[in-house]
Amino acid sequence: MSSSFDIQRFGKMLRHDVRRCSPSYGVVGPMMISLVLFVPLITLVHGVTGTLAVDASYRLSMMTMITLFDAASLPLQLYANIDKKKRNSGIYYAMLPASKLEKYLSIAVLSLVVVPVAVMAVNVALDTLLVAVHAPYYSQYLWQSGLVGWLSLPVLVNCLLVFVGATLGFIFANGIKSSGWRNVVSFLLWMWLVGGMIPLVFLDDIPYAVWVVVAVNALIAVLLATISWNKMNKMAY
Amino acid sequence: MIEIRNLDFSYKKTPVFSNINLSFPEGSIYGLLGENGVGKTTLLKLICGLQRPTVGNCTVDGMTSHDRLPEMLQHIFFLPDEVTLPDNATPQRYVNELAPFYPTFSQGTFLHLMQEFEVEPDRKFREMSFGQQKKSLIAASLSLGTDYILLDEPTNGLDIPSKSQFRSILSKIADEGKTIIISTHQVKDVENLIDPIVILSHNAVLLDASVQRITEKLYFEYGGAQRDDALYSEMLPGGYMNVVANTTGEESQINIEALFNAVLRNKERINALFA
Repeated sequence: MSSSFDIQRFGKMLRHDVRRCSPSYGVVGPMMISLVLFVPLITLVHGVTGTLAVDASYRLSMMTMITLFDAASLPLQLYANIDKKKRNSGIYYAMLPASKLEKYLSIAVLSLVVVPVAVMAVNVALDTLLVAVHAPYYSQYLWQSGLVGWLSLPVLVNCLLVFVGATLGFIFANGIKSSGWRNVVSFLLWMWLVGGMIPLVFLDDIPYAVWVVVAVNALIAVLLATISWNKMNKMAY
Repeated sequence: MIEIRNLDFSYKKTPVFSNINLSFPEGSIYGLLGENGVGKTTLLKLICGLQRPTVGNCTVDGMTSHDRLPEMLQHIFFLPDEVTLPDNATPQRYVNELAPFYPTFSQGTFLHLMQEFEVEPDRKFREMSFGQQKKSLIAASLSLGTDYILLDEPTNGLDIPSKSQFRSILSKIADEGKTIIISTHQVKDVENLIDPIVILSHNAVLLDASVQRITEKLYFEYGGAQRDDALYSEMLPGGYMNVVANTTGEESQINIEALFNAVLRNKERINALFA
């Protein structure tokens, strides 16, 4: 059994973290609200006013965005106390018998894979239900449309890069001791998460510019992944 | 076995320990005593790898503590003085989350200890008093079955009956060969429980000795007049209690508070006596 990575220990760590994503830890509140309210709200507004067709590709794009924002913010909520001295809240996590790599990967897999897939699945199920019940407000089921819609390949790649980078960046932000600096870094990451996804919508017709933006965001994502792992590896209490 | 060798530690420019050496063999309840701010909690954190020594090292079963290897963490549990608990969680849920990591966890022991402490395992932490929360956490810590259990100020917040229950439970656990290190400044709470006794002072270990060795070297005299040669004297109902060097080899009953004060006030004489 390796000290730095063991698949069984990693599984235990991931299960532990998944259990902690429950309402008793105050983690799922924003997610549940956006999950439950988003699609009906859009449907209601656009359906009643008739200002915009609530077509499948549009709904899917918005669901993807909501899912990415929710999942990216998970480390800030679930692991907010990971390195805090106040009331010894970081000690619990530090003393769990798993390696630093297993703990880091557990946060990453939960935020980057488990939660987005779960949130997306609930979104799709809810959308399907609403289409079945309120068919006049919708043009079609999600799978009856060109699903990617206005999200072209570079836009999708860019969104994923910004999502991965910001999520890992939030892990790093949790490990910053000074609350002032932690807030500054978190704010900048939020700005990047929001702003980093927007330019490509306007640059979609300029192929070179599109890929330059994707490359810059890829660099930032790699940088954030590296510093967040280094921070996790060197945490002291 | 926990071993600390030539260890220095400081918080930035404030030195806490300078070249200390200690060892904690298995199967005893160690009392880590000292005034506020001498580094009792820091020493516990160094032992379980939450702090990195500036110089020297600390090992648990041969593994360097600050590496925090999973194999080491599986054998050691640290219960800090204060713990942040999720509001809606219950003690049962708390141990359910920890149990998969500790193959030696016993649900039976947990329920038994909760029953002894008279706390319901399915009651929410937020509905409990501080003392009940503390008892739940102690029960959880002891039911994990780790070889080393580090308790920081465990009797804080416990009422008088709970303190007695705590002492009786810990005695049973120690009989099972576990090593327990209790850091406290409430020395009366752990009297007749801890053996050996470690007394810390700023930067140094003032005393590290078993109760037997202490009674070989020191004599606790109750009810007489105040003695000039006493390391420490205290007026009690019925006369003075004197702590003096044991020159006759006669055994006496330790009074931990008096021992603590005697050690703090006579560092050099104590060093010479126990050398």
